[in-house]
Amino acid sequence: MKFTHKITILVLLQIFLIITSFFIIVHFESQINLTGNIVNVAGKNRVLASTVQIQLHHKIIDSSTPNDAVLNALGNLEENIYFLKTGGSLDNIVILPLPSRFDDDWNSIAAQFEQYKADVSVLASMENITLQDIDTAVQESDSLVVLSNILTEKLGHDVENLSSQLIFLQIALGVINVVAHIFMITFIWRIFNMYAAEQIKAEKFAIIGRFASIIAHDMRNPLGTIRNSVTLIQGGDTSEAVDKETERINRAVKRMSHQIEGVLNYARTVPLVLEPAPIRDILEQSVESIAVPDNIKLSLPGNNITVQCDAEKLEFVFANLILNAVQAINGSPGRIDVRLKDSPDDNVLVLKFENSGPPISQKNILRLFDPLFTTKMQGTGLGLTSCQNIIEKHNGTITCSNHPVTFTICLPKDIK
Amino acid sequence: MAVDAKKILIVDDDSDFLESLHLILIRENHDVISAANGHDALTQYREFGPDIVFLDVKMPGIDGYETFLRIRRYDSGAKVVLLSNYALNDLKYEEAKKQCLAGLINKPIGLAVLKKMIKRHAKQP
Repeated sequence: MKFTHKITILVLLQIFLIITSFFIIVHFESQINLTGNIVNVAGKNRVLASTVQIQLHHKIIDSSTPNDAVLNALGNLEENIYFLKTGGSLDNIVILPLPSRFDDDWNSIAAQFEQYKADVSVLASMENITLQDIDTAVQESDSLVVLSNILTEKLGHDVENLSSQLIFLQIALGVINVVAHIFMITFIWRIFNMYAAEQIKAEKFAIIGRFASIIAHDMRNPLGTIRNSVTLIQGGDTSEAVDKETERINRAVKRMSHQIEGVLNYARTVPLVLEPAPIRDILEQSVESIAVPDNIKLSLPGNNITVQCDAEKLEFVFANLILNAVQAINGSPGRIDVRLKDSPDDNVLVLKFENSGPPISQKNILRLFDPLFTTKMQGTGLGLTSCQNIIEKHNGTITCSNHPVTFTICLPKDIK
Repeated sequence: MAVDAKKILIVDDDSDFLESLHLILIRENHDVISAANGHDALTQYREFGPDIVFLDVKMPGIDGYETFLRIRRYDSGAKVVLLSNYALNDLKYEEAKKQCLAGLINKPIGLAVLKKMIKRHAKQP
């Protein structure tokens, strides 16, 4: 994953955490407010019950007090009790229905009210009433107030509990946010450091590559002269001893050229020279440049396919893979199988280089194509990096897997 | 001159390389002439009219690309193969390919590759 993607994900996580915390707190505060509104409605029962009693006392003092005054006060009380149960809108404030866990309390209030309502209705219809007449109603009103107080207190406890939970939640979310932000900032810091280290490493490799390629280029001219001179010697009258030595010089020149190719291909300074070339022929050329020992059985694909490619560079890649396999098998009997998979419907051909050498550790597989990484005493650590560069220049891919050790090259058939 | 013999111009500022390549091509029965830089190459091309030119890329004064372009301006049918031993400039190389560059060989050069290039690209009588 790219470092910018990692940082984007972390920043999005931070934003998500902040917004989630905000909404949790807002939700809790809203719950407290809504429960507080129910407390107010429940508390109003006491005032309204008292109003009914006051109207009854007016009627005792002044018999001309209209019956409607008592009945209206009773109606207001009834309306408030049922509003408490169902909830609704009051002066543009939303009142939630009474939570079901308070059903028993409300039922007691409602039952007490029905009794009270029946008695007060009778009293309201009488012309003259005395204090003794309203005794029962007074007791019922007191009971109604007590029951309403119990419900109000219970609802008040709920509000207190929610408030305590909100404080706890605010502290907990605060701590979680601080810890998460410290963790994320640390993580982002690490990602930046890794990126910076990678950049420095890439720059170092680029400088090494440039220097190495300058030296490699300068070596090519004298190598060319040596090669030409050997060709001239071989074309003249030579003895067996001279032939043997010129062959030795040729092998040395070839090995040096191979190393130079590695450096130049690593430094990506050599463009592709594309021409149609049969893959199997390139494989055969690459095998010719390597001394495959007798203990190794090498099998090349039976099929062949001609593709647009840089044959010289692919020869370098194939020779590298086969040479690595030879060195991995290291003297014990073994095999190297090269397979060419080609489907006419597919735009990509697949080349597999399997060998019977020991598996490569997972740690090493991950670093196999890194520049200057080598497990060999005499390796430059540029071989597989150069192979990868060449294959990528062909718009292809190269991967490695175990059981058996296999290097897989996918090449497009119609590279432009 | 033998039937398959070609007139070949070789251009390189490395005198040892130039001389050894000259001798190899003479032994292959070709008619060979050498030039040590781009200006000499242009003069020799006009006088000699070669069937094929092997031209080094990196030279003092006008480099291989520029020499190639000037030869092509003089003779649009010129057959030129570049000899490379240093980092090729992708843009110049692409431009040269567009101008019908015959080929590119990396040093050190094998005799087989040299013969293949002459057979494939040299002008026919």
